[in-house]
Amino acid sequence: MNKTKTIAMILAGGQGSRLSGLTHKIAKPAVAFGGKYRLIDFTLSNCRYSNIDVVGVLTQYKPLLLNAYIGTGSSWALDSINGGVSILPPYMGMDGGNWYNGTADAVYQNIEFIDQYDPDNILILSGDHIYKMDYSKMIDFHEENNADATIAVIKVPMEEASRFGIMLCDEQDRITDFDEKPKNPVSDLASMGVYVFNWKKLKKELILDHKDSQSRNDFGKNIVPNMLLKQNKLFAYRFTGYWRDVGTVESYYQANMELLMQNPPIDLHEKEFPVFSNNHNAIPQIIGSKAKISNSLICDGCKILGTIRNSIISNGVFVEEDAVIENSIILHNAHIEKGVKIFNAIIAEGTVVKNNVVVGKPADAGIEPEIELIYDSVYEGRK
Amino acid sequence: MRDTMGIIINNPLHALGALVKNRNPITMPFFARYRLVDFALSNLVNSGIFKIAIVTSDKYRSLLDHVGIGQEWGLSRKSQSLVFMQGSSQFGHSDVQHINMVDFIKNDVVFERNKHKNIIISTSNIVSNISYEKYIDFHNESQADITFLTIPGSEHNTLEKEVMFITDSNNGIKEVKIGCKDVCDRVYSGIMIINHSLLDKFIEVSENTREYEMFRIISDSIDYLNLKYMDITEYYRKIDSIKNYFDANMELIDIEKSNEVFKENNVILTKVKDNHPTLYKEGCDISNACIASGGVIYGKISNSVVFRHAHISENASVSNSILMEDIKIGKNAVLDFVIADRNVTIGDHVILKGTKESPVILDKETVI
Repeated sequence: MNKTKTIAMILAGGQGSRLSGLTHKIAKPAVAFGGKYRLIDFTLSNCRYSNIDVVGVLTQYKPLLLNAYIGTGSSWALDSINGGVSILPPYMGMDGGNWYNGTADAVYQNIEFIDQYDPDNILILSGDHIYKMDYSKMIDFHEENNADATIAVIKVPMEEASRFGIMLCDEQDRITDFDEKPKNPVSDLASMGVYVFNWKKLKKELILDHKDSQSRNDFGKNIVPNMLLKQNKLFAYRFTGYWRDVGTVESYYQANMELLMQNPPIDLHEKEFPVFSNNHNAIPQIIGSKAKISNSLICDGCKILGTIRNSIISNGVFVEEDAVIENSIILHNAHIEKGVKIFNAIIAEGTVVKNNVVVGKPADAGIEPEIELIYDSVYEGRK
Repeated sequence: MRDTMGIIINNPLHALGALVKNRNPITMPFFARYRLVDFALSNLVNSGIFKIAIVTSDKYRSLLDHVGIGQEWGLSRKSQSLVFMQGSSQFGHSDVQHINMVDFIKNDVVFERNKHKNIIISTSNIVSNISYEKYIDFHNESQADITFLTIPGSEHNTLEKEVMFITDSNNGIKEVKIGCKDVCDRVYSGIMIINHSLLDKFIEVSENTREYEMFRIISDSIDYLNLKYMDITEYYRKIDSIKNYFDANMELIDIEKSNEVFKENNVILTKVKDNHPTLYKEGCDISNACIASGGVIYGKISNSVVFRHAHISENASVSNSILMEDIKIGKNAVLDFVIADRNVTIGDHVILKGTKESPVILDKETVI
């Protein structure tokens, strides 16, 4: 097989349990975002933009929708002749098999896959972050420093730093210390979960890590601290753009709603660096004669007969007459029947909200409303 | 449907006037994201017909760009195929009105290679969602040589050049009339099912007699043929004038009507593109409209069809119009009964008003 300089492995097996009902039926990277997108679109579009032709997607939790969605990777122009996208669930071998037991273990179990391409570097990515990043610049930085590993970092507010893996660096941005979710953070440089490793080095570490029965087989908790301990050369690559980790329902709601701001912090429409997605052959939006729409994003396949304010409406949503949707996110193929009122809520994919049901409360001035999440297949109101 | 092949022909539609000045009607944009060929092509594919030939014309770039290797229609698979046939207009024979035998004569190799029993010949200028199964079953059961799909009555006869039939009570055809003004029983829809062997004979006859209009050959040999008809029961509109192009677009904004064409199962397939969702800004006013993705809308839109990437500025007002891809409309501009081709730019405060009978038509890349 042709030699490939850098290949990417995307961690897409997580449940994202804090997203509650949004990940009941699908893996977190398959959760819809910004109307027509799904979270993994961002990472895959970044790979395309960075000219990375070999991408492994490590799946485990509820992978059906994700597998179907990714397909051959053609939607992201990743269906290259020598490589392309491979979906990598855990598999059996002569000595049995195991579920992926942590992020490092998932990559360990696919050493054979990676070795087929004999790469110099390996890029480890998360499939559930929202950002646009040119990985090739980070790989150049990694090679210029002759580093063993490079970790992308972003400045976060000090009070939130304890939610992240926090880096301490010297003047050359060489990492001197790394703390996973520290109680008392000493820096505001947070790991974005984007790593470039020298593959030979990482392979050794993964094998050692696998033998260590005490290890939690995690990049942040085990691999990176171990490499630091051994005086390996680890560098921090400073990223300054937009980056969101939508781990909770609240952060998911916020990141969506940012797209409706006067100047959204991420430009999804940019011609130079577009975010691709697997597009449906859906009919254009049809807006009825009594519809009222204001400050909203609406996708293909929607039929809108009611009122939509400050909301994001995903593909194929049907909103019947006299329904009102305000400050809400309605995901794919939901059906909002006549007279329904929805305020400050997220309606999951395929949910039918029955006639005249009220979801959520209108926002009171100054008070942050609580976000209601409805994921019943048919919702007839709280009993 | 393995014994059936589909051919999509390409009629010159001069009646579409300025709209087809620089394009082939087969790729005429329709209803915000489609091209006319999508309907004929999707109908074949949705009916399980996966051997399809499309006749090209001298303007074929946009057709190849749109259809590609047929991947959106599932035609790029090893077991299924799409071929393009060089059309008669490339050989200087574009004067035939209905079915041009030159299209078939010049591509006889396509027919020699395929041993399908039946061939569906479909025009590309229709908007419909037809399942061919029952028509093919009828054709086979009645052992017809040709089954024409028809529209009852002659009220569809807006153009005097239409093909019409005088029929009997047994789904038979007594007479074929080409471009006459008499009252007839049925109008030809532009779709027929013909036996492959008969088409081969027609190719031979046409080469020998230099009669290139298939309907004249049919009419001449009517006594020897078993001709049948079957009325179309599904939604069907023929697009052969600016008026019916406009009306068909407008009619489909109604959800019940559009559900007849854009069904959940038999999906009308088209080339998909990566666009962001349409952003409706504060203060916009939209009613009764069909809008494609990629747009940014500040102004007012009513009774209109708006294609991808539209930018409608503050206080602009668009009504009774069809605006194709990449339209930019300035502030306070007013458009009423306008058909704007691709990439048109309308400046601030411009007022353009047409009428239902004669809408204002703006050529590609017009700047006002």
